[in-house]
Amino acid sequence: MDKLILGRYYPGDSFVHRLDPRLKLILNILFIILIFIAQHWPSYLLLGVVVVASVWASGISLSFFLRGLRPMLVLILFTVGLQLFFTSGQHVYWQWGILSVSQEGLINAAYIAVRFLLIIFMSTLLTLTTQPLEIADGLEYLMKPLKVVKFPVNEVALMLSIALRFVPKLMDETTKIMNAQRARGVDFNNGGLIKRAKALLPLLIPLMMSSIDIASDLTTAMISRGYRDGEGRSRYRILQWRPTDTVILAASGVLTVGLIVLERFL
Amino acid sequence: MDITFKQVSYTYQANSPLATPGLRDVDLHFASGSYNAIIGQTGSGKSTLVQHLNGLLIPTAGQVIVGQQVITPLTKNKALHDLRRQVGLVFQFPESQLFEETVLKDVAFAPKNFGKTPAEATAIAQQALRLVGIGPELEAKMPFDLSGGQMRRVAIAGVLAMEPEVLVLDEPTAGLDPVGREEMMQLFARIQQERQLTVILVTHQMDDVVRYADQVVVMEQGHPLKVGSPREIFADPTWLAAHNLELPSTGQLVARLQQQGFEFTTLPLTVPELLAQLTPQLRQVPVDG
Amino acid sequence: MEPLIRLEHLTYTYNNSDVPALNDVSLTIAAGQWIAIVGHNGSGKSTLAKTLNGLIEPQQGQVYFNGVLLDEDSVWSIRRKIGVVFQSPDNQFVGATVADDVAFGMENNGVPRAEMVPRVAAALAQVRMSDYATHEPARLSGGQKQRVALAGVLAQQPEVIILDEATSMLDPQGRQDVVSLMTQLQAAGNFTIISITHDIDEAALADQVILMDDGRLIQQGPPAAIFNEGELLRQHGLTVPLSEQVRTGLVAQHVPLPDQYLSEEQLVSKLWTLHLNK
Repeated sequence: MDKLILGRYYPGDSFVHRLDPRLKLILNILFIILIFIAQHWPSYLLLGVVVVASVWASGISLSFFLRGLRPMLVLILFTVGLQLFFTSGQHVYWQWGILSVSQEGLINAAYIAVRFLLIIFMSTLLTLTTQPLEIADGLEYLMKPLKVVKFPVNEVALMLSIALRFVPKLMDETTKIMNAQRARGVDFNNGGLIKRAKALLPLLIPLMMSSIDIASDLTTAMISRGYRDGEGRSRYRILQWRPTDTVILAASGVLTVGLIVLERFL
Repeated sequence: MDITFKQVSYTYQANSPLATPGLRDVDLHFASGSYNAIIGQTGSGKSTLVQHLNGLLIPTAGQVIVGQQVITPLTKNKALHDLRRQVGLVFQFPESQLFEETVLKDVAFAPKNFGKTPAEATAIAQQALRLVGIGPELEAKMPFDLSGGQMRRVAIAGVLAMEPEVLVLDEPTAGLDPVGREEMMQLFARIQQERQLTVILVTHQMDDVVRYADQVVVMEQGHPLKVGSPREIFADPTWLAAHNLELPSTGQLVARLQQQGFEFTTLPLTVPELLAQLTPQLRQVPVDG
Repeated sequence: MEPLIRLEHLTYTYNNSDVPALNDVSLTIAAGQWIAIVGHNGSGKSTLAKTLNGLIEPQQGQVYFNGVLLDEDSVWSIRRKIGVVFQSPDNQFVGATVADDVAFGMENNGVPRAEMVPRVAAALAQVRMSDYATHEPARLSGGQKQRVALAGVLAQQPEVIILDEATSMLDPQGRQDVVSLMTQLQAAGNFTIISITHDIDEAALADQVILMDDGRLIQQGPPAAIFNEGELLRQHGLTVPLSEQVRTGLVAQHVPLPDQYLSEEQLVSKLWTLHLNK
C-alpha cells in the first residue's frame, strides 16, 4: 500500500505546486477530453511531451512516478489484456476458443495502454502537487454553478474538508485500537482469510464507535460556534488566481486547438 | 516476573528518510513483584518504552528480557503470543477497545484468544469483573450502554482476565474525577498485592508516584535520565524544575514554608509527613489536663 | 440590576435515562466574574453548561441572558456572545489549519474577510500561537490545540467564555498553559468565565464556586465558604484543597489557626506568625 502514490501529496514549492487548484482541476478534465479526441500516434506523442514537461516542471523525479505506477500495473495489464484478446479483427495472428489476437486488437491494446498511462500520470501529478484542502476548495469553486439546481455545494465542500482533516486522527485511532487488541491476543497478520476477516471485527467496531463520538463532539462544537448551514457564511480562505494561471490556461487553449487541427489533417 | 532492558534502542520508521528515534540506550531493571512508575514529559518515550514490554514494538537494537523470554531485533511475531498473555497492557482511555455485544463476552475475549475454552473464559471473565467492582447485573449489557467510569472498569477487567503476571498501566486514570481516580489506583494496588504482580505505571500524577511506587524512572528524549525511589527522585526540586517535572502537591507548599524560615530535614511527600515535621516548629495551644 | 445569566428551575432528563441530569436548578451569574462549576463526573455540571447556549433545551425552566429569554428566536444571537472550549482537544478542531479553525466562528457569522484577517492574527497572538498559524492540527500538542480553540472563541469577541472540562485531558504542562491564559484573560477584565471542572485547585482561582451533585445545585459561594467544608466536598466526590488538609491537620494538633479556609498564601503567612524559632 505504501508504494501507491496516486492520491498522495508531495510537499514542494515548484511552478506546478503554485498553480491555482482550480486551474489544475480544469486542466485535468481538459486533458482527459484531449486524450479521447486524439486518435493518432502523432497526437499521443504531443500529449506525451506535455506530460513529461509538466512532470519536469513539478520538480518530482520521473523515476518516483514510475515506481508509483507499479501497484497500478495489474489494472493496466488487465484492461490491455481484455482489449488484446477480445477485439475481433480481420488479420488474426492467433486464436484459441473465443480468445484471439488480431492486428486490430494489438493496435487497440496499445492505444488503451497509452491513454491509461497518460491519464494516470496527469491525475497523479494533480494530487502530488496540490494539498487535499486546496483540491476541496477548488472543487467548491468549480461546483458553484450547481447551486442553481439546489445542490448543497458549500455543505459538500465543508464535509470534504472535515473528512480530510480527520484522516490523520482516524489513522492514529486505528493504530491505537490495533495495539490494544493485539495486546489482548488478536493476530491481524496470520491465519486464513476467514480468521483474518474475523480479526477485523474488534478493530472496526471500536473504530466506528469512536467515529460516532468524534462526529457528535464535532457537531456540538460547530453548533456552539454558530454553524447553521452553508448560506450566509463568509470565507477566510481564498484562492488567488495569478497571471501565470491565465498564461497556462491560454497555452492549454492553444494546445487544444492545435490538437484538433492536427487530428483533422491526419 | 523480572524484566530487564539491555542497551535497548528503538527507531520509528527505521531505514527510511522519516526515521525518528523513540528510545536510545535504555538499561533498566524492574524487579518481580515491584511497583514501578515511569514519569517524563509528553513525547519523552514513556509509551514507546512500555510497548516493548509485550512485544508490540520490537527493539531495533539491544534486548528486552521478560521472565524467560528474550526479545531481540530478530524476534518473530509468532514467538510473542505467550508473552502477550503474561504482560497485560492497559492503554490510555482503554474503554475505546470494547467491541463485543455484551460486557461478559468482551471480558472473555482475551482468555479465549489465549486458548481457554468458552466455559473457562466465562468463569475467568466473571471473576475479573467482580475484581473491578462490576456486578452480575451488568454482564449482559452492551458495553456502550454503561457510564464512562464503568466502561473503563470493564476494559481493565478485559486485561486482567488474561491473568497476566505483569500489569502495564498507561495513564489509567486520565479523565476520571478525583474519587474515580482514587478508587482506581487503590484497585490496582490491591490487585498487585493479591496476585503478586509486577506493575509498571506511566503517569503524570506525582502524588500517585509517591504513594504507590517502589521505583521511579524519569524519561527524557527516549532515555532514562534518573532511576530511584520516589524519595530520591523528588529530593532535588531544582533538578526537577530544570527537567520540567512537577513536585507532588506538598512540594510547592513546602518550598513556600522554607522561604519563611521553616526547616525540613527530608522533603515531606505526603500530608502526614508534612504535618509531622511542621507541628514541632509551631506554637501550640496548651491542652488542659 | 439584572444579572448576566439567570437560570430558573431548570430540569432536564436525557432520552436514554430515567434520572434527571438537572433537577430544579436556579442560579444567577454576575457579569465579569470567574465562576467554577464543580462536581464529580455525571453530577450534571456539563449538562448545566450546555443549557446556557441552547445546546440542550431543558424540559422545564428558563434561561435568561442579559434579561432576554433564551428561545428559538434569540438562541443564535446568544450563542454569538458565549464561546465554549470543550473537553476533547481533537474533536472540536474544525479547520484544516490553525488559522482556518480560528476563523470558523466568524465565517459562520458572515464577518467580512477584511475584518477576519486581523482578528485571527490578534486572537492567535493572545494565546501565543501566532507561529503556528499555518500548521495542521495533527502536529500540535493537546495544550496547543486547546489554546487554538480558545483563540477561536476570543476571535468572536464573546461576553462569556465557558471552559467545559477544557483541561481534563491535558498533561500538566498543557493544563498550566491554559490555566495561566484564563487568569490573564480574567485580569484583563473583559470576560465572564465559567469553568466546569473537577480540579479543585483550578476552582480555587474562581470568584464563585457552584457545587453540583445528582443534577442539583448543592451550594454556591466564594471558594473560602465552599472549601471550608471538607466533608461536604468529599461527600460529593471531590478532594479537599491541600491547604485545607494541612490547616485541619494542624488544628487537630492544637495549633491556633482560624476556623476557616485559607489559601496556600494565607496559610503560609499565618504559620509564619506561629513559628517558634523566628
